[in-house]
Amino acid sequence: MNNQNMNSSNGSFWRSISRRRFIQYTSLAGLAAATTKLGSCAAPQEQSATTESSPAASPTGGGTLGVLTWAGYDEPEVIGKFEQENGVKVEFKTYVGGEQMLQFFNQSPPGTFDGIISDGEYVTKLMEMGAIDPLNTADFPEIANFSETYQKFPGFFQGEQMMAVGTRFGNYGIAINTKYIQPEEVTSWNFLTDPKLQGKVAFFDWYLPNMGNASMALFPDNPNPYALTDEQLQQVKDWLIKVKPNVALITPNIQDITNAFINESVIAGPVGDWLIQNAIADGKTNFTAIVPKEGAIRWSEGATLCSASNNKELALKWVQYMASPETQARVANAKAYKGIAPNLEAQDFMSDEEKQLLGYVPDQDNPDKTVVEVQLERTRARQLPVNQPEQAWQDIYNEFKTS
Amino acid sequence: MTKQISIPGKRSRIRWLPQDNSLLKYICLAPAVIYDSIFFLLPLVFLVWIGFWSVENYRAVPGFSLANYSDIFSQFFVKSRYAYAIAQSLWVAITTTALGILLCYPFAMALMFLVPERLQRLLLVLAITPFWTSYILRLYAWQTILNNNGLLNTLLIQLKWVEQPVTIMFTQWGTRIGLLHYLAPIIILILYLVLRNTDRSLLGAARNLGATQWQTFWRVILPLSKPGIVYSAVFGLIISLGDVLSGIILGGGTGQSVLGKFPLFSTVILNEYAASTNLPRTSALATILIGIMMIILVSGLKLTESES
Repeated sequence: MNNQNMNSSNGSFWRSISRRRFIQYTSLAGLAAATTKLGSCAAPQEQSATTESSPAASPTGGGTLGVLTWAGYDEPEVIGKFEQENGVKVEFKTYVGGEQMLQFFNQSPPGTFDGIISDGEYVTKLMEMGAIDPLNTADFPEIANFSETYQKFPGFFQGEQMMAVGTRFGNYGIAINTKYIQPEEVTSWNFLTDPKLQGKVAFFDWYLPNMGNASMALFPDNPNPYALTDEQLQQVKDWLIKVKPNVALITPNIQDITNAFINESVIAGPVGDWLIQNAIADGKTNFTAIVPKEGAIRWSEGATLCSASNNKELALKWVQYMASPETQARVANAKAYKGIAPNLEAQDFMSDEEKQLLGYVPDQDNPDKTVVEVQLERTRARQLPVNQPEQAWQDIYNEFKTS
Repeated sequence: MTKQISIPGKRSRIRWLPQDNSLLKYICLAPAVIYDSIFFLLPLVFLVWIGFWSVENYRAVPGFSLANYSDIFSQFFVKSRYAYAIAQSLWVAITTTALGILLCYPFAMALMFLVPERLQRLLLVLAITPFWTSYILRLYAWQTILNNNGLLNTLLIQLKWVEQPVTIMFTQWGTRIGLLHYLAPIIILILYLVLRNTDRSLLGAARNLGATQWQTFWRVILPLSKPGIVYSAVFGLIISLGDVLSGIILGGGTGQSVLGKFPLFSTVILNEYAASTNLPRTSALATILIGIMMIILVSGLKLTESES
């Protein structure tokens, strides 16, 4: 376009462009922008779930170790000592949910990861894929100091063979804001169906814990909440749909749930104490979490050693490091979210405030036991569906969300 | 290389342009075509293509299968109930866009007809300034305003206008507010440009013929700005349908509207990916949404063509 054309009759550049033509071009650009936005739908979550250094970009070897993990394990307070002692750099890639972990692992070149922090129910999947090596119990004398449940936790063992070492656990009990709800009111899961909670409940967006809790609410005597008949599964769906009018927020973003509690946009939710403990530590002492009489689902994270690791010796050192009481104390009190250490000696490395926050104090109703011990007794491990395909459970969960 | 163009019956305004088949024309067009191909067309084709893949052992496997689409359409009204989410998305997008145009049209009018020429560009820049800040930060800023104990509710309670906090957060009203903040600069810009191109002599003629201000607006300005309204609507609808952040951060992922407590379709797509990491199925869902956007875009183009 020459100057003569740019300077049309009124001397304005804007006026030289036909408005319809301009709008046509810009609308096409708009569609491009919108579709690009859509194409990157997953970006915010993935970005938030991924640390700056991605081992996927640089397969490990030499002085680096690649670890695929939940958030928290990458914090300097947790990994700094290991890096210093061994003169190595640990590169983390963090994930949210076991499915995402498996996808990241499968889509990375072999040898990208030397170790994985996995949930108990996904250790079996990793083992079936040949992704992880068995561990020798003789290499882990610290296990003798673990709570009984995690000395031989089924999720971390294949028969008699140890595949993972427990690093952190927690539960999905009912978190409440005591400014609005008295703890005495929260005795059963049916509390979540109370109409007074309409639009005041937050859910952590993952089908496994939420459907597991619903299963425990309905069938508390069932030894495995994930072993349901089709009829029982239908009842689980109906129960979740009954809770739905009370649900205001469903998100996999931990911080969004914490913020919603702090801002009082929600006042309850089956999200457990680990999601609100950061807020409690910051002075929001009106938050607490309760395991109802029917019990609640418990999550369990463990460290594994990758079969395709190029540096197995160092990787094994990292798994051993994760089993140590001092490391577990730091992981339990991670900034990302809190948890409980399987290693009972971890409390020796905690301050009084940390012990109070995490539950290493006598339980009010059972003074001879700590809150941690009582929670362990009253919770059951999260697992994968036993009698139906995972997709069937996910479809039901989706139906709950669109109900 | 160049030729003079004369339009019969009109005084030629465009005197020099490259010849139809000149090399210069293709050289000038090349950057735009290459850019659009790499950053728009190629990802779009790839997205549609992946929709026909399958998943084995948590890995997307190339191939051609309609299984994703048949499964999605079989769950349109049952199980995952995608139709409900699409209806929610359309409802939120339509109402947000309508609100956006209703709010931005008077602003653009005032900018064009009430603000002195020398200040118009400055005010226009100020109006679109929010566009230069991070969208996600703006949404979190809205949270601090809309929360139950946020700025708005604190103010309303202090003024004794309400006794209990007004619930806006985690409803589709929250979603709309976030989207409106995103859309307003775009709509204002489009409407301003359209109004600026309005032939002022027609307004003078209307007044000379005795039209009141309202009649001038209703019978001259509004019809002339119709293409701008249509394209604002197209922009608003497409962006609202594609947005996922506002629906999650302010809408709570399952916000209440008159239709019920359903998530937006974009939220469903994101959640499905997060839950299953099934990229082919998620791509198929995204392709359906893009198909809806294409229908809106083509309808908008047709509408303005028929107008012209």
